[in-house]
Amino acid sequence: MPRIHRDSIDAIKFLLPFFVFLGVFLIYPIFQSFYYTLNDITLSHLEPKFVGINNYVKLFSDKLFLQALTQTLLYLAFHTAIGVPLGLGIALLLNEEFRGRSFARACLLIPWSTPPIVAALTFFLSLNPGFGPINYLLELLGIIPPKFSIFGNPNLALFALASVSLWKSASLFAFIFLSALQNIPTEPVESAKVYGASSFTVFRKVTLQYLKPTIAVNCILSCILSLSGTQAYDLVAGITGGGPGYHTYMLYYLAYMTAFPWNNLGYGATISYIITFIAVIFAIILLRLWYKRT
Amino acid sequence: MLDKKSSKGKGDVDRFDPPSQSKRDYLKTLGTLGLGLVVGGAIGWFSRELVPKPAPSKIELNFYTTGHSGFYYDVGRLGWKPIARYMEQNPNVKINVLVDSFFNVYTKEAAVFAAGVYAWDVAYLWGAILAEFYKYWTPLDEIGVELPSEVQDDIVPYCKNAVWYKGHWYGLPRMLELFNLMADADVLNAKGLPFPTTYEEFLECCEEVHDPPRRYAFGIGLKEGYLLPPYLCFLHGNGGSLWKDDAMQTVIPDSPESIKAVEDMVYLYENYMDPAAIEKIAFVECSTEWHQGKYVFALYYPWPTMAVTDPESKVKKVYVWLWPGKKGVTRSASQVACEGYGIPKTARYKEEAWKFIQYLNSQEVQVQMALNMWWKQENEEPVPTRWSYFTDDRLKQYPYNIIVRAQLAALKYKANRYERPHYMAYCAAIEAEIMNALTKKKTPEDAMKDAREKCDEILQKEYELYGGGFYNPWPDMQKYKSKIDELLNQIPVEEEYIFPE
Repeated sequence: MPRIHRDSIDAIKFLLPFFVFLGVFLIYPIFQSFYYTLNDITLSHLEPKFVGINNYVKLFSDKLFLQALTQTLLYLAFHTAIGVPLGLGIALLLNEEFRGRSFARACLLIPWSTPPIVAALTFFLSLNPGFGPINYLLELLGIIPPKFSIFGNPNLALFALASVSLWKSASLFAFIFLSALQNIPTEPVESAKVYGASSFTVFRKVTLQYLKPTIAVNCILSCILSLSGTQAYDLVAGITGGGPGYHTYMLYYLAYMTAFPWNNLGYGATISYIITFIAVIFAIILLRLWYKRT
Repeated sequence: MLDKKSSKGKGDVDRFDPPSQSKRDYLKTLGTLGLGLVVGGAIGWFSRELVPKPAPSKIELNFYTTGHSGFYYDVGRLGWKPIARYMEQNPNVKINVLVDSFFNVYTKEAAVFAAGVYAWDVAYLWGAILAEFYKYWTPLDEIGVELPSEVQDDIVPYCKNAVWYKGHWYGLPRMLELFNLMADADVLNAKGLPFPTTYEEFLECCEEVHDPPRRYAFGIGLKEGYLLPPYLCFLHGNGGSLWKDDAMQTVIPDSPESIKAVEDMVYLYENYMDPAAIEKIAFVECSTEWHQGKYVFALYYPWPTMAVTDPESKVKKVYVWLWPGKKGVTRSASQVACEGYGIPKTARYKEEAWKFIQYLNSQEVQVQMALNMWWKQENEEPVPTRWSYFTDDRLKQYPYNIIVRAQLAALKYKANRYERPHYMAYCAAIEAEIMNALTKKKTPEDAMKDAREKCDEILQKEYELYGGGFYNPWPDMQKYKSKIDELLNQIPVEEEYIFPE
């Protein structure tokens, strides 16, 4: 038997358990849920009724879906536009030599390691208009009126939620940036300094160039976290429940609510497919941008 | 570059290969595991007849209930433990209690039922879950049980709604509760105000006692998830109904009475309530604040009245009676909550499950449940579900007597909850739009018209799947008016707690 052929058989043997697992827990559900999207199916009536692409067509006239889509994109833009630079800023700070740096780095782990539902409850209580310490402080500073409900305000609730998510994600972004910063070779930086470049120029012309792939990774991560990460569900469920009104409904939460509490599995699965589709588009765009630049 | 192949090609595959020794070890381990399983299985199979059979073990009943009624999982404040007692009386039965938040029960039951697996022998049930998933519950007639007519007649019709669907009984109710108006009696007396008997009088009282932020006139949580119940009180108070009496039982949140109800809620919220109320779930957080004396009036299930027996409570005396309707429309209007226990189709021990359900519905358990009521949410214990239990002597004691009387009196007025298969979807659609009105995103009229649009969509789908003909307990309830009067006469109460009906 030729060597390469024998090696392939060995490789298959080793990989088989993984592929079986992948098949049962990922590939099969992907196809099964796609099948649901083409059917009218509920948890109480599991006999599917074929509706073709009706569920997809319905999305375009579904006001709630369109509202949730807009809100998700807003949330995503806010989360990425602020979260990634914030993470970079924190990483640059922690990359400097100072007393207590190790402690500060360790502290950075806390937000990310806090389970989303715990973060949700913490912020829900901290921003409670009745007794929340953050609300109290904002009141004292005259930023908000007494007993002001931030999560109950239709204009602010979404951004407040995105800020809670940022609190968690920025630390992850910072860690990823930090590891990238530590891998930047010192020579180009040193030479730039020798040639008289200012710190900002060194950052812009050297550091940032090396960080471009990491920025792309963090942007993709931010998009995925906003679209379908557990944060996108847990924070909404734990803090606002989609309210006030429908003002914090996001696609991930809407997919769950539609499929389960509102008992419309087929349509819920369709929304999930749209989320996946958007996430893939974002990933492709960002990857293309990255490869173009490098 | 994406299209540039790595220079490490197939020729370098050795780089990733484990050393041949490890490969052999891996395959050996896998082979040994497989062989061990086959040999073990074979020994087990052939020796099954040789091993002596164990003595019959206990029947294990999986009992699924919700967190808001601690009495049913043995954490009632008075220490009377129904589950432990049942196991003492039935040594061959072991009850495994599984508790979940009320807000999780619906999805968990739905998912388990759809999966078709065994999870529980006795499970929590209410009208909406039963209507939507009736196929997954065991009708009592299927296990040869016919509920005697005297038992059927003894069950309050609103409670029947929790366990009865289109001609079949699926279990027995476990509780009944209705919204009442509660007032801090000391504040009213100090101001010389009578307990209001019309909505207009109620507003006048609010104006007199409102003193924010020290004390708000009216307290209730308005957060979505439990916003429909208070809305129904306002709707009924205007003489409205959420369903039409047509073949589809069309849901009509855009009726004039409904729009007025939302306007009333907005008015009360803006003028007499804590601005933070839109972040509070019904009375969950508010009951603590009620205990702290932050509200004069509260509209909720009346168990926070029990604050009067807590020495730490700032509220020392409570008047509890009917939520007043609009003058010339109706004297009162409330909303009702009823729950029960049933047997899922996949239950293992259906007969034992039925015995256990009967025990939970017995007079002793139901009365003990009511005696355990308290102002904290985990002890949200309501009143019994059967007419004959209301006059139990223990419930005639203060303050139970004032609560039981208020609950009985509220039963004389419309309190429908409108539970039906797609209740959860209707509920979310209506609540979101009420919230839009409360937060001034829409006018009440626009909000409720949008709610109607959403409800029409839900209705169409629901009608295709279930048809109409859902049980409306209100006509049956009206037949019991004289019985309620009779019961009210049998429950003594001090003069100052008697208010006009």
